[in-house]
Amino acid sequence: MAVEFKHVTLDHGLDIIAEVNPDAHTSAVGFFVKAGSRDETGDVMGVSHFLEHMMFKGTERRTAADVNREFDEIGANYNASTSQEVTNYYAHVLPEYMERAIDLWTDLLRPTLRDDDFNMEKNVILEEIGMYADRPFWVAYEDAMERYFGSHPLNYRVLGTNESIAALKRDQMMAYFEQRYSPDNMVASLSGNIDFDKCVAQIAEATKAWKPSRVTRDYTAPKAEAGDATITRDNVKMHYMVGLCPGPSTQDDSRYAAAVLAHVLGDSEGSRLYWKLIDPGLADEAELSHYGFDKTGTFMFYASCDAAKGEQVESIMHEVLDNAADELEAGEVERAVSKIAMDMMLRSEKPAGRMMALGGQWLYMGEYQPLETELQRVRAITVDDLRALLAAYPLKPRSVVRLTPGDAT
Amino acid sequence: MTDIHTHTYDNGLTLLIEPMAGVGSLAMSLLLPAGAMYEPADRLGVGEVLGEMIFRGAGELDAKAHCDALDRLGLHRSSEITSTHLRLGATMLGDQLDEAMPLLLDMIRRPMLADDTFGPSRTLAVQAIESLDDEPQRRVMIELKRRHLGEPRGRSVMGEIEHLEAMTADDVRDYYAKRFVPRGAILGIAGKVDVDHAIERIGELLGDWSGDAPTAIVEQPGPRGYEHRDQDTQQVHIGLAYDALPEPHADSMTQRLGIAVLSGGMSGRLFTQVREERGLCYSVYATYAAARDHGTVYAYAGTTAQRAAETLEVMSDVLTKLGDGVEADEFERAVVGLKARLVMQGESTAARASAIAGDQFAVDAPRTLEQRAADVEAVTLDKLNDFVAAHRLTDPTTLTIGPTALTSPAS
Repeated sequence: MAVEFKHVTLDHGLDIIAEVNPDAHTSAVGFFVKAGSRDETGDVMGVSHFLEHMMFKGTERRTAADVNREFDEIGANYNASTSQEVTNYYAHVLPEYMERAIDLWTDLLRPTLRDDDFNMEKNVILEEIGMYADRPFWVAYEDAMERYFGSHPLNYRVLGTNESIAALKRDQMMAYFEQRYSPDNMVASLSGNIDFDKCVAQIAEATKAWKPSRVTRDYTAPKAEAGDATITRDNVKMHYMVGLCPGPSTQDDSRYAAAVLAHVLGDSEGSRLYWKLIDPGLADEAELSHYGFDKTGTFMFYASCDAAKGEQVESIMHEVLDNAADELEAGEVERAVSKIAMDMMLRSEKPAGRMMALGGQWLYMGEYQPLETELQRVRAITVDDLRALLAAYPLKPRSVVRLTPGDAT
Repeated sequence: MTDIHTHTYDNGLTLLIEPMAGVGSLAMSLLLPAGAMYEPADRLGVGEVLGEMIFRGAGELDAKAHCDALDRLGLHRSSEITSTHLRLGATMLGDQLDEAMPLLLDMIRRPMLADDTFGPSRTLAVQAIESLDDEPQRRVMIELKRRHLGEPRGRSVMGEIEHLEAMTADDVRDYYAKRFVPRGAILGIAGKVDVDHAIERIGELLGDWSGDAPTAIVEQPGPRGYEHRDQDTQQVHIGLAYDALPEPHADSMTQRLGIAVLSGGMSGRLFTQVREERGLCYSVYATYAAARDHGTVYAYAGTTAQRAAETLEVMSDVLTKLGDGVEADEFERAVVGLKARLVMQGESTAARASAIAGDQFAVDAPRTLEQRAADVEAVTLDKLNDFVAAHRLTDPTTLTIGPTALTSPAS
């Protein structure tokens, strides 16, 4: 049976979208909030992510222990994540538990933010920062983002810093919450075996007291500048390199060409970077990806290798990016298209995958695209599209950050 | 009700096929009896290098041509080494079977294993080991397994740098010839598939394959106890290992439910008592690894140095106190959680292909999702409570990585 798309906008502005598939064995629900580190100010850096944690700490009706217990009672696969631009909350459940999953999320999205929970969870956030500090790629990535975006708010660290988190006050978080978690700044995405009308009625009733805030996002364009930095640390073994350059935004029609280009140049297998760096054993990782943001975008490239090969690997990386347009062949475009189409189809076989795709699409574009339309758009990409993309986004200026062992020369 | 078709070819290869409704994809998982525990004791890592080299040219096609042919189909593929097997996995569309299988099975039957692909493959294997220094969270579990299980089961599947440095391309070819054999090999297929056609097609591709490989091993127990590895890290990474039941044991599902009480969801005891109530860490979990002839419960937490001693104490206390008994509501949540995971597994062709192949090895038969759900339902609260009382999790093997050693709870 074919899937059916449904959409309703509630009076207070909350969009509810769904792909209904009566043959599915499971159901998924997600709330996507247009709130992330780029919506913060420097003094509350990390508040979006910390708030995401606090969303599990309870409401007037539920304690933190109740929340964890109730999700487990329905066997939900549930979690949340925070990026620079989106915070999302989801649950993947058996169809008979959809009502309880919706009851939980619509309640939890109006949290109490109790002081003792806030103070306890602060420790957990500090441990999470510590955990990522033990991951060299992450350290290089955060530094690269900070340098590339400069004074633009996309430079903020999603986790915040030890200092910003330690200083954060509960009232600052509440102020941020009240502004950003308004119904007109989020989308509810449903998929799988669901009764759409029933879900809409339940969400409408549960959120009837929610007030729109007409909050907006600052869309000042970032200034991309060339950069070059090296961090040395005694406690790393390998050499890491992360670089950024401008790319199309998530809304830009050339995002499909950007995805294909990224696969041609920098997929983990069979790409130009693979044959130049991984196949000969020069680097153990070397990839290029397209990251579309809200009305701006980047390509990110990275590699890790033996410290002694750092310079060689980096120069080959630049050579591949410099020569991207010169050597484009129809065959490599065709292979990249096949791989992307396969990824999209596999992700879509599961309701949870569709719920994620729909929610993101609606939040950024305010539109629905059936999988088949997206596949057609990917399959239509040609060498000429990639050339046009490279004329608009020539993979420079590049900002590069290296993290390398302290004793390397 | 799902049907899983089993076909055993004359050469000993077992083929398992689970057709799935409502999916367009097809996944395969091929287990070859070439796991790290069969590697020559002075050539540890040879399987890892072989797993890399089979992607570098097969049949008539050199590395680039072979990779391009797989990419034209958009095929997902991967290889991994475990203690017992080298696994080749792939996901494709159901109607690509005829085109994809010859390319994939050439990697097993006719890999080039050319001299010039050995050097880079070995270099990558060495780099992977070196980069573990930068991944303490992963390294702690690798070293813990080594210390707990001993030789050869506890070996790091990544191998040893000195052995890799002494290795030649002939060592790899020799290992390939001895271990890539059909007897003991298991091919699991799940998804959109025509069963008779698949049996026939795979028979054409693999029917003339022959060979047998010994699977007897000589075991040396691990030193166990407590070990600390000094490293300048932000967090102290703590790993614990306990003996548990092997998969074929009648009570293995009971053991699994017990571990789900500890770590099945966010209301699990470990998450609640270590993270929620004390804020000691971000990541804490326990997991049950059940194999054909042994089982292990592993637990992990990462925390900053000043909280590490308390974290270790709370963790081991929570694990041991499982033996005091489980409440009815905890039991219910564990049951619901395991059953929901089974339904979700049923939405993934790759997960099903891997599960049925793993079942065939562990318990000599594939198990349907319905059978697994019945296994969960067969466990009662009384049975679980009797079990946890009789199988207390005590005396763990403990490994820590970080700036300071801890006092072991066992000492």
